[in-house]
Amino acid sequence: MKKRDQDEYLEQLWYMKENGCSDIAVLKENVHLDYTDTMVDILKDKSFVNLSRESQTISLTEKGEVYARQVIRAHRLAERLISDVFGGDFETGAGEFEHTITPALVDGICTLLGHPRECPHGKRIPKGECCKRLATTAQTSVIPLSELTVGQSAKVSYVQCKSDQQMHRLHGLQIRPGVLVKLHQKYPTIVIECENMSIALDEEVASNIKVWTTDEIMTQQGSQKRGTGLFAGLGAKVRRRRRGR
Amino acid sequence: MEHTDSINDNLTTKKIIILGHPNTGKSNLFNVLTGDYSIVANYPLTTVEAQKATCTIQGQRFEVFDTPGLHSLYIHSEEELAIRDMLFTEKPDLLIQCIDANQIKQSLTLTADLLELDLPLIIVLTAVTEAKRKGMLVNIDSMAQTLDTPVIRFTSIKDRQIDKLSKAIIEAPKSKTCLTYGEAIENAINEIETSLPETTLGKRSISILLLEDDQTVEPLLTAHAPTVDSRKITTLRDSLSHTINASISRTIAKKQNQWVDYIFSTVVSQRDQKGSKILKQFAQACRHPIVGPPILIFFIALTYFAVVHVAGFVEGTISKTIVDPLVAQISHWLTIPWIEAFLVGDYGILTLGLFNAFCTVLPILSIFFLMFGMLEDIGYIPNLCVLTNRLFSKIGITGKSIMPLVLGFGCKTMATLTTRGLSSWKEKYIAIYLIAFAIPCSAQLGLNMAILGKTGIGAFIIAFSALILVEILAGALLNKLIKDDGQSDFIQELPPIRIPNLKAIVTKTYYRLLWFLKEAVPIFVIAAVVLFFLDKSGGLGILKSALHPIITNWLGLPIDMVDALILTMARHEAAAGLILKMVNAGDLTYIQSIVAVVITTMFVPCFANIVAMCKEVGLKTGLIMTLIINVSSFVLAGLLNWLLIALL
Repeated sequence: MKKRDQDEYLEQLWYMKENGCSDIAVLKENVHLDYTDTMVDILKDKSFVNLSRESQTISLTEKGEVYARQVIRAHRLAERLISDVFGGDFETGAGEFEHTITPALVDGICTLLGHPRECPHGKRIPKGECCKRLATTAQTSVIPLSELTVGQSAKVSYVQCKSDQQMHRLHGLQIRPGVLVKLHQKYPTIVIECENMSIALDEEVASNIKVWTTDEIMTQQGSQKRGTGLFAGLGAKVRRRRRGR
Repeated sequence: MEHTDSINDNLTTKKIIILGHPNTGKSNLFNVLTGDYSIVANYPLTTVEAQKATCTIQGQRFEVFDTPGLHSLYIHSEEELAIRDMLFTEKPDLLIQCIDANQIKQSLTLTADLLELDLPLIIVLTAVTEAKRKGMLVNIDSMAQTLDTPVIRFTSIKDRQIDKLSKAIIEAPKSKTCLTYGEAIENAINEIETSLPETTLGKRSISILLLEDDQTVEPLLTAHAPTVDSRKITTLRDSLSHTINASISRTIAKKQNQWVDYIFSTVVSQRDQKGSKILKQFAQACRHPIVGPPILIFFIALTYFAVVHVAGFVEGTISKTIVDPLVAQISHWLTIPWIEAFLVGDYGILTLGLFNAFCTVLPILSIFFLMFGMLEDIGYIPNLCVLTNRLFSKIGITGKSIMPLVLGFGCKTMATLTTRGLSSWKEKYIAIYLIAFAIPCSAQLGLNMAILGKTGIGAFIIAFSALILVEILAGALLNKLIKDDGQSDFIQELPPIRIPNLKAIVTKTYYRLLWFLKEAVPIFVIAAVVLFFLDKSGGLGILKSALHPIITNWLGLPIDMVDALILTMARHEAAAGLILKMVNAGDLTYIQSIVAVVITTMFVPCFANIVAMCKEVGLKTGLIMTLIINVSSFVLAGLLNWLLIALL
């Protein structure tokens, strides 16, 4: 049995578990491949599932659950990557990938992937700056908005919302993946600028807004902003003093 | 535009609801349309409750509603829920959405929602010139074309634009949404739509809200479509979320965002930002932890100077040149003692009533409201919530409750009503209590400044430090006493700092003073009459000797302060006027005037405030709160008295 097929079954079984369902008929209906009884038997042999033909039920064993969790994790992280990070539509997949991604981000991913030379189809991947340097740590990373430096701009990668309500509120203010935000001040309250509007946020909300930052952007904009921001220096002093305490 | 009240019986009245994000000029538009006046300010939450007025446009009679800010039809607070309910129950014939051109992107989310209501929609674009200065060019024609709905650029000054608006209102074609959510979701929407009764307004919109599992939509469903089976919808929702393998809410939000991005990129072209840099830096300075507080102190000092020196001078001059000679003349003419006492005595209807209102209180309020109006107009006040957020959070005021508290310095009644936006009971209780307790409303603040200004700036600083301390202690105590029930989040949009518009400030001050005259002056007179008869009948004497231990021994105040406390119950301004007179006459010492101001600020919130409290927390709790406030105001003012005696 192919690993992919097995993953597909386990994935569906995980969804069923989430929905509190263990009906074989549901599994049959939802597996995207052609359903076969042998596949289920193989899973049972590997002790991934508890199967009962009499009551027509099937469910994950503890071992199966551990495995399925990994599959789901990978799947959903991939979705996150495409949808939130690249701002694309995860239904259309990676098609828009190359249009939305920044070079700094490409370098980060290239580094994470260990500077691959060939694409999955066997074609050559042109070398990037990071490959020449043989960088081993990605310079691009996702950090909470609250950890930006004052005056720094960054793109929102994703927002962890407490509730759908909060998501609608933030989206209404245009705080959403792909949007550029700028941190105006941290003390006494965090103030950001987003689409021409100043918004005050409490620490909790700000730390749940994750943004993309790259070292390069940080140094460039940091030096610029320190030059123009009238009160940036003062703020920095306050921060240092606070840290000192 | 005509503002005639003549009703043409042949025509039915049509309903217009003005909607939009907070601080986008809805009230301004409302005022221009109806010729009525609803308070305008450069900050969110100025309008707390929907206002209604009528107007006639080209012979058609319209009922126009001004509403508080709304972000989207997906509800975040009770306040927004009230607006949405109004939409579905009032069944308007036409919607007008106000959009601030500076924040067009934010507003488009609401536009997406409104288009789904299937009603005629007109978009009114405000602050276009300001946006242009900032480098944002909005192509109005292309906006109208892309959205397929009339878009009108609006400034209150130009009549030509109002003609355009009138024309659009009369024509008002139905708008259609061009936003779709993909096959699976659309099918589900259709399925719910067909199960809703034919007469339901905004079927598509309600269907989407039902799919999104908006917690507040249940009552809406029972009210408008009792035949719809909510279990069926739950099943539909589950199967849909399974089919699209994602959260429905998020998928819909995502499609909306893509639509917003598309419209925005079609309609707006951005250039490099020019100008307004100084204003932007000023805004940043106002919120800055180090530069901010001195700016706040500067504004307070400026207001203090204007009230104490300018208004004090005016009031003094009027009193010396007009009132005093007039009173002397009247008592000279009148020979019957009780009539003289009734008109110009200690509790005279003229001296304590009319002259007090017009010659003492009115000049001070005029100057103060002008100053306060300017601060409102430049958009300074919401910045205070940035400065105070951390301090407030230590005393249990968190998240959304900060803004109402800051607004309490404007009008305590309005501020109390804005607490309905708070979802946490704890936050609501603490906010309502603190607003009612030691925060002076704008009128009281102005008069307090005038009273303490006569005594000296030291007295002003001591009295206000005492009030702030009381407020912090009360908040901290309540925070300990009341059980936590989850904190709300603090997400507050801040208005841009604008150059103040003199005409708007003068208009607003005029209306505020007009309301003061209409509402307060009769009460001044009635209170004077009541005090006069209480005095003549001997009731006042009995009351005074009964209260002697508290007023004189505990609070250290002259016994005549009982009069002021009685007036406080009627109207805080009246009491302040009386105290001002006592200070002018030299009847109050340094400490006494501080204690007098502190106790009248804390004692009995005004009647309207008590009503608002009862409305928000229930009659019993509201009255208990009032009682606690009154008792603690006596206890605390007494403590302050003894502390000051010991220290000074």
